[in-house]
Amino acid sequence: MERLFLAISCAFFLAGILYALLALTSGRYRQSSWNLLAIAGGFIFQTAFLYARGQVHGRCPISNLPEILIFLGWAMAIIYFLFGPAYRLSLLGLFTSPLVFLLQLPGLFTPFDREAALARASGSTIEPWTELHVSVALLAYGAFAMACVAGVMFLVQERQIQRQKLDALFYNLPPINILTKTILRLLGLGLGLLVLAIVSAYKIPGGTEGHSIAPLYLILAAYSLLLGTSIIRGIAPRRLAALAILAFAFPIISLWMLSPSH
Amino acid sequence: MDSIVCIGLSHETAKVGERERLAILESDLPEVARAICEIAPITESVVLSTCNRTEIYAASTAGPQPIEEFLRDHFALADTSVQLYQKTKTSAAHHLFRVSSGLDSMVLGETEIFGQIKKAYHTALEAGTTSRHLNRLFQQAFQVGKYVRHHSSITRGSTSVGSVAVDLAEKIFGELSKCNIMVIGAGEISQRTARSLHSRGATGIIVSNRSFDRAEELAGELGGRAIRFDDYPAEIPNTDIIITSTGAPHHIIHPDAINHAMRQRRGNPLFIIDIAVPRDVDPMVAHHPSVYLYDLDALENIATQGREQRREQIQHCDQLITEMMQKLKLTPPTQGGSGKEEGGDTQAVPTT
Repeated sequence: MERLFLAISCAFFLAGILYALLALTSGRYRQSSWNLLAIAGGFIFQTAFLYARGQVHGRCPISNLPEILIFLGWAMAIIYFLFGPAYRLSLLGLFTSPLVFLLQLPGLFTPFDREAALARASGSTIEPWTELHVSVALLAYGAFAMACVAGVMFLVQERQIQRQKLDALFYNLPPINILTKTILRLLGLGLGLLVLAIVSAYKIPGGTEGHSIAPLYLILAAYSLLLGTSIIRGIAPRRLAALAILAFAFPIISLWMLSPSH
Repeated sequence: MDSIVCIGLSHETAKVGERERLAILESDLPEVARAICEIAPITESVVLSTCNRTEIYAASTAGPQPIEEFLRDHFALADTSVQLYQKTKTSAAHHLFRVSSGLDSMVLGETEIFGQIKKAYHTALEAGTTSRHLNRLFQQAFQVGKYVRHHSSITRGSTSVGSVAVDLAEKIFGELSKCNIMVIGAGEISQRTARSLHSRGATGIIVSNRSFDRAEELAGELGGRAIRFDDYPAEIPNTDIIITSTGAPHHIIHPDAINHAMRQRRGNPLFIIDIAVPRDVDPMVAHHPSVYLYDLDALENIATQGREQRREQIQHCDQLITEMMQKLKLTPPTQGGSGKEEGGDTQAVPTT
């Protein structure tokens, strides 16, 4: 059943991408409820998948890399709903959906061993601080992923303005100033959540032994430097966008390093 | 049985002098509409009068002839060569649908005409000169106009230098109300561009001109302030959009000045619209990562592209109108949907 939920979720995200691309290439794209519906549908089935896996594990479903990636995609969808409509970020969904789709794709081909997971769950206890630490860290990663998406949108829009060739994307993408502000807000949100994740790690009984939080400090330092420099000294928005994209390599590498299966 | 008739002239059939003769003041519209309804056997009328067209839509059993006579008499056209087009039944309806979709406008796809038709209809409604025939026709026209705009790209893209500049400014800064604008040299195109930005909410406008009186005049019109010509470099760091069109034979804005200003702007973008020929701004300025420089050619190229894109949409829009007419149980005219055909076809517009 979980795999079916995941497949339907992927289908929703893919349908959203195809609809927007077809509309854009035909020059008749309009921001409509269909765009939102595709992501909402994908999000509902993502949630259903994570809930079902949570029931199997008896805790937050982040036991292997594919599950962690799906959780990250879920966090991105939540942040999309917070930022997209609130700041009228047209096409944010189109740029978010492919990344979420790719994050979920490994899950479709992963043999989730239900019996083994149930057996492990029956012998383990739930540690709330660990759950909080991991889930908040992943939400922070979701914010950084969305900053990366906004960075890509910025570079696409800015390239059109620089090259003096305006196509359908130009008229549908948000203004670059709004995208710059969005990147800064997302970096701020991500950093806040990351600090909360680090603090919660110290509340885990037994301290941070067995929970390497060194990569989190590294990510905190990298993003703090980016945000701090931007606020205090000012960075050219193009550089900020490019750095927001490059910096997302840190969370991605840390996910691979910290995944339970690694 | 009453049928719909349309009689009038537009920018496509009449020169501005002729259009002026038939222009009707907004305050006179109810009176003219009532006067037309007093002509037997006309039962309903709507008068549409804009700078590009004057058209009378009416419900009549006698065709457009009585209205034409009224117009020739009312506007004293007897001694002129002014030609009025006449459309009847579905041809009249088709024409109105094209007008409401912006396909008959001077600036193809412009949306202002939709509001003007709405206003004309409401004026007639309040004057009591519409009933079931025209009420239904105009509701259909609004429906078709919205449908065509929603399902085509007829409104997409900018078609003039001023509107390209405004679109770019909005795609760089978002809200223009928070932008500081500096106009250097109050030439005609720079004035028009500044007015376009002002009409979209820009308020912080500075005008710098060699003739300070002229600068004050334009600044007063745009609700901004005038500065001496020598003072403009000092204002660059606080400016988001520069519109420059001086008659200087050499560059007046150099990379050094912009690099210095950009350090103070802490990464905030600067949009420079250089409309001068020869150019006022050294093209090297565009190498700064946060500076967006557009000269007259670049703006004109985009405007031309926009106009071409809209022209490419005409056929698609006509298909959409045909589609909508079929849905509305109206038989579309058979002459390729150009809407230019004279006279009417044999099918009456169902108005009940």
